[in-house]
Amino acid sequence: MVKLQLKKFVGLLSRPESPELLISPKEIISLSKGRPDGKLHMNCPAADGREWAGAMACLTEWCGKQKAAAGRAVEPVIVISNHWVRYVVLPADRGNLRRTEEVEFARAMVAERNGQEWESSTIRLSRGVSDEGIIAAAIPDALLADINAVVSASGLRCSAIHPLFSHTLDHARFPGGVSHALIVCVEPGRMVIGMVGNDGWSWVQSPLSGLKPAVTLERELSREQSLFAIAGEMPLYLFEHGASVDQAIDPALQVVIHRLH
Amino acid sequence: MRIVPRLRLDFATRKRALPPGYWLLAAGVVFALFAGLALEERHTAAEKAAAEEKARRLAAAKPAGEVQRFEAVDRRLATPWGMILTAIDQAVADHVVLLTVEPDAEKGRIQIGAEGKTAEAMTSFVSALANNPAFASAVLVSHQVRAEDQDKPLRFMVAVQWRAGK
Repeated sequence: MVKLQLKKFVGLLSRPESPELLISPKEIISLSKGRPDGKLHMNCPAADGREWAGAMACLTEWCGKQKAAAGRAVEPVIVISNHWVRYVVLPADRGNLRRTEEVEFARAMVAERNGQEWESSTIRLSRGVSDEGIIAAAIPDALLADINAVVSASGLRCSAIHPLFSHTLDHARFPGGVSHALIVCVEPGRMVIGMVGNDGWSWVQSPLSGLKPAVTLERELSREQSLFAIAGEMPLYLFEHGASVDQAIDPALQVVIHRLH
Repeated sequence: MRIVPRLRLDFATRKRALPPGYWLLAAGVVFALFAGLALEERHTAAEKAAAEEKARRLAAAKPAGEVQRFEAVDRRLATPWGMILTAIDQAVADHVVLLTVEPDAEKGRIQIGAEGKTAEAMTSFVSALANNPAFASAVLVSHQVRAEDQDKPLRFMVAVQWRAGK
């Protein structure tokens, strides 16, 4: 009896478990501090409905298992594949916009670059040391609504919902001593490429990458090199989630690749 | 410095909340804090009351001290010096020389130092003091022969207690 009461008291004090789940178009995998940990891998066949319907079916199954398992409360961190996230860097000369105006400005930028369907998206802004180099991330409202519906239907709740790119970066340990760096996060079929420096982010793209990510990477870097005049060798920190850049990058691009996982 | 600033992009509508146990714990800590403060306040009040009581007692005790001092002075003034010195003078015989007389008014005593030619002179002096009605007692405290003197006199001390009220 005493043991049971003690267990109940400890349960009240302990934080709920927060497993990280990467939700992708074809699979759900578990992460640990932004890296795949191999504890969970669920294949999610395509289903009728929205493009994430298969992933939602997988998530429903996973949530049902958590509900069935007695014990500590579970509040998952949902990490959303870059397939369903778009990024823009807000221009530094955007005037004295209020926070809500910045969000609307970012939504308009995302929709302009990626299509009108992105007008119905939720926006989150990063905050840097100054107004320069701020990243805006957009996730479709419908996807967020589906995730919340699936999770809450199982009696659980999300402790956080992160885009894969920011989740990976926030948990990564970067070597110091560089003033600028390229960050690349690769998944099957899509990658996110960005350039960051002491003043924040210069640019971010999330192109489709096809079967050969290295080709897409070279193409994007060539294009951005001319736009942003990348001079000299630049470190490129590469994060590979289920896809790899297994082909040498053109030496003329002057990038030195560091694989961080 | 980390070149890549943390983005911290969270799309969850509900922010992480502390488990309910933490609120209970926090309530307990607040309660303990208030209880501690209340106890401290009571303790301080008790200490203050004790200090006041002590000060009051000291203040009350002060006049008594004064009285004791006055009584001591009064005792000294009331000492019958004339009668004592007359009684000592009467006891001194031909062969006894008085050296010192040290009165202690507080205790009603006199320490008398004297020198006698013989032991008989010394004992008769002590007996004379003891038989005098002014004194309650007269006791030979010490004596020694002065060997360096060719007459070999006796130097001695007598403690005399005089009678109160005389």
